[in-house]
Amino acid sequence: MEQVPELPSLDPGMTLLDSEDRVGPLQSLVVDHVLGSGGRVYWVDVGGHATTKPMARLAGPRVLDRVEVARAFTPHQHYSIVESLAEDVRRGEVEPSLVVAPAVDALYEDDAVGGRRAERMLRKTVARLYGAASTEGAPLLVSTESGSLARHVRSAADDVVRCRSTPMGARFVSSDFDTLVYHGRRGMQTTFAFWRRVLEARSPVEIEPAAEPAGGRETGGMDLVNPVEPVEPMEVDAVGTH
Amino acid sequence: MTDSTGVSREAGEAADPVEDGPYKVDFLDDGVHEWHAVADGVEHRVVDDYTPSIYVASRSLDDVRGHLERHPDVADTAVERRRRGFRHEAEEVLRVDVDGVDRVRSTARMISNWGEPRDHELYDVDLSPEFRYVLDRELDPTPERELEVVDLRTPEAPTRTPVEKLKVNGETVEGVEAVVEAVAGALESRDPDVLVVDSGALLPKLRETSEAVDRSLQLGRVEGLQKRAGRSKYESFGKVCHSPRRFNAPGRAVVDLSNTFLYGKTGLHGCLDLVERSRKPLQELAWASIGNVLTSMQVCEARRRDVLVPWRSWRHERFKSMSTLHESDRGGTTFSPDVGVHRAVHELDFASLYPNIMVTRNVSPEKVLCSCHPDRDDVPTLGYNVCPERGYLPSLLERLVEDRQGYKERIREADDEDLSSQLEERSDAIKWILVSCFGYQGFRNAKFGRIECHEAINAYARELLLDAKQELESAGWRVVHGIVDSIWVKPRSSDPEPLEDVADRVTDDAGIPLEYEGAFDWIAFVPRRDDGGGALNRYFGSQRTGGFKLRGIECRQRSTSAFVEEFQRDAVEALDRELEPEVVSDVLAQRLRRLEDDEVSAEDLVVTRRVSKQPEEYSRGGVAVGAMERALGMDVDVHPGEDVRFVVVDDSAAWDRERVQLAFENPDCYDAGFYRRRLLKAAESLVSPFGWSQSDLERRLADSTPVGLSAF
Repeated sequence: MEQVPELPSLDPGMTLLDSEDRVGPLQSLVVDHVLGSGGRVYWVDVGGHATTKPMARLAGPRVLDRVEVARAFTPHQHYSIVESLAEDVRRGEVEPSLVVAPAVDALYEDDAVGGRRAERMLRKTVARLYGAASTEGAPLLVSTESGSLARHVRSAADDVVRCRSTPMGARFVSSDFDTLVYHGRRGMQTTFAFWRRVLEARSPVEIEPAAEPAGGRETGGMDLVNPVEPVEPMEVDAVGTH
Repeated sequence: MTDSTGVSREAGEAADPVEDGPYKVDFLDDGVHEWHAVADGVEHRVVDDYTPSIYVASRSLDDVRGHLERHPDVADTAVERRRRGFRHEAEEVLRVDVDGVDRVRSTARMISNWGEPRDHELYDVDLSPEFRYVLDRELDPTPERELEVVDLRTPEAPTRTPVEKLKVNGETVEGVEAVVEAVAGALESRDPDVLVVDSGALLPKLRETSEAVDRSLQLGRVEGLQKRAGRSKYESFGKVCHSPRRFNAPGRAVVDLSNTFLYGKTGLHGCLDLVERSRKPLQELAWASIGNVLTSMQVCEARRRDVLVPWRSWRHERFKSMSTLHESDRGGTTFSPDVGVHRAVHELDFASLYPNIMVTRNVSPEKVLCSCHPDRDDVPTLGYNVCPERGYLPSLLERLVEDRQGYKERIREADDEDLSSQLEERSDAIKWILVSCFGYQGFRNAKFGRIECHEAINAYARELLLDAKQELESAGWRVVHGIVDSIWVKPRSSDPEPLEDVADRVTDDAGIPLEYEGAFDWIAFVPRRDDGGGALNRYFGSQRTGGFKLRGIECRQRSTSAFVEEFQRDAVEALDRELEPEVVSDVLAQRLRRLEDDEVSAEDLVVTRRVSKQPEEYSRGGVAVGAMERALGMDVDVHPGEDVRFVVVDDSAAWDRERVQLAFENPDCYDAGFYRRRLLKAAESLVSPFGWSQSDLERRLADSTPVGLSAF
């Protein structure tokens, strides 16, 4: 029998995820956390990390219902989302079981904010995120971009989890964890299908095997259309006005 | 008020208390210069007491006031009651008057740096100077008469100093002295209100040119040429654009053709229509993006309601579950096209779908998810509540939709060609605002945008398109394609219900007209290259009323050379005579022969590419990078956002820069193999709906090419 694949569990405190693949490992850790620990996840998003298509295909609606997302497009929005989250936690209106903030520094690199002020806004934001998570003893999962402000986040992290793609699948390394996620056969690509298999193997009850359309496109989720049948509606990303 | 062609206001609608104002405002050392285009010429007034105001909201207004009263750039402060947003009631804020428009930003930045990041929120900071001025003084920047224009263009790029060749009002002048003479003459005889130039950099170059021949050339109505902004890169509709330095000639509005969207798309009267609506004076309006013009209209609405304009967008999306996000984040609805060639197809379109949704469903940033009606469930699938009280944005858009309709009716009735072309421009100008009002709601820098509005509009649009599809199908029609607001159908049964009747029913249900756009004798939906599924926006067809509709195929792409474009258009015409893929192959064979026999002029082979970054930033080379490198080697600047135009002369050359010659080098040779591949690709787009691949084309070509043709 195949071994159950391992994923690092998230401990209370701030964990920095360091991964080349922006979406797969992050979303997989979140889904795994929801399935393992229950509760609600609060996700402060930047730059489309919370893109729902892969997430919806990694996990069913029960998981999606338990992840609350607010997206920021400017540093000021990011700052005030975190401010209001911290306030809601303080008042006991919200009890996160995990707080997620990918690319937490990214928007503060915006020229319009300016050096010292940007740094102050980021520090305050990280402190508030930390507070919002730790009030209930929940973990905080963040990632950074490669800009000059990232060091302020790194220096505050309790732990760093690195995720790398290897020919044997993904490998996670942290201060107390070093494992290949899946001891499968060689030549395993850490694609979306890989993460889906990992999650399926770890929570066989929760993750219903999804009908993966044959030849379906990774991002579009489009079905080929049989020209004889009436056309079914489908969605595309951002079809603009014309 | 209504002028001969201008903006109508509903009876009873509170007109702004505005007076006729300057069409151009200059901020010079001795004060603000107003330039009024009045019936008998120009009126020049100098105002020396203008102090622009910004506003501060803070829990410690007294402290802020205390600090500011001693600051040298601050002229005065006062506590006033204003609203901090369309959803807010009036509250006490601090008005800070600063000493001149150039002190606005530095003062704002200083205040925002005091204390913690959000302690002091600032308002009315980033209004463009002329716009701010006419708003503050309650002036209307619409000129009171037709404006006099002088048009200065360089016939061939690049412009060097001294300028040796120039088109002055369409007439080409050669020789440095003649150029200076012609410009000076035009300025003197016409005393233009507007200078239209193909590049702002032409103005300082003309001045240098005049100095070279010891003549003084005053381009403005008073001495001085101001440099306004440095070079910068910006993004517009996902494309990198390039904003060159801006030059200002006092007393005249400068329209820089390399730096205007609206003037290029509509013209002077289109711009003036928007000047009147947005109260942005002409020079700033011509320079502005559509989003900026829409924001300016919203700022006018805000001023009317005592609402301040936020500097930083602190308002954020509220937390929502990923399931809701998944529902809302799906974008416009599109049916997968039925790949192939269809005969007797009809197209129906929802008229101005997005603006009409906003108007009829009251989608306004301050009304979606209002706090006064939390129990309503208005937006399909998302369940958002929308306040039943009228929002300001739907009112604003409704006026635009109605005025555009009014222009269209008057165009139909107009017997004067000048008037009808002016009205066309005005109608087009409104169209551009309407098409962008939806996308702008979700844009990160939108001052008054709100992501939930964007989501709601999408959700309504999706429901409308799906309902329309259902209605059409049950009336005996088959939907072969649908994109956002357009549906293509053909009969499913032998006796379908007349389309007009179905469209009327859909219109009544939707409250938005579903209009019959036209019939196609045939239409072809092109498959995706990678997997054969239907490409969403690539099709071509022959309209019953004459002409072709071509979308997304090579001849519609601006990078395509004239030779390839002409081939594709001719091949579509050939298809119209005989709807078989073989005819495409025949036209192709003929063009390939011309190409191989060296009969094509290099001019027809010029490829245009827009540059999005510096050459060294491209990770891979290519002909476009080669063209940029070549231009740099010749000391011709090509900046991100600008075009390079070149002919591929040797695609296999070891150095990228040797693969091409730039259009202005007048290339005298070309790489036939490169253009052969372009032709084949363009041909493939046309034959792929018939189930043909490129190899089918090649086979047919081989079969039908007479042996030994090259011997001719």
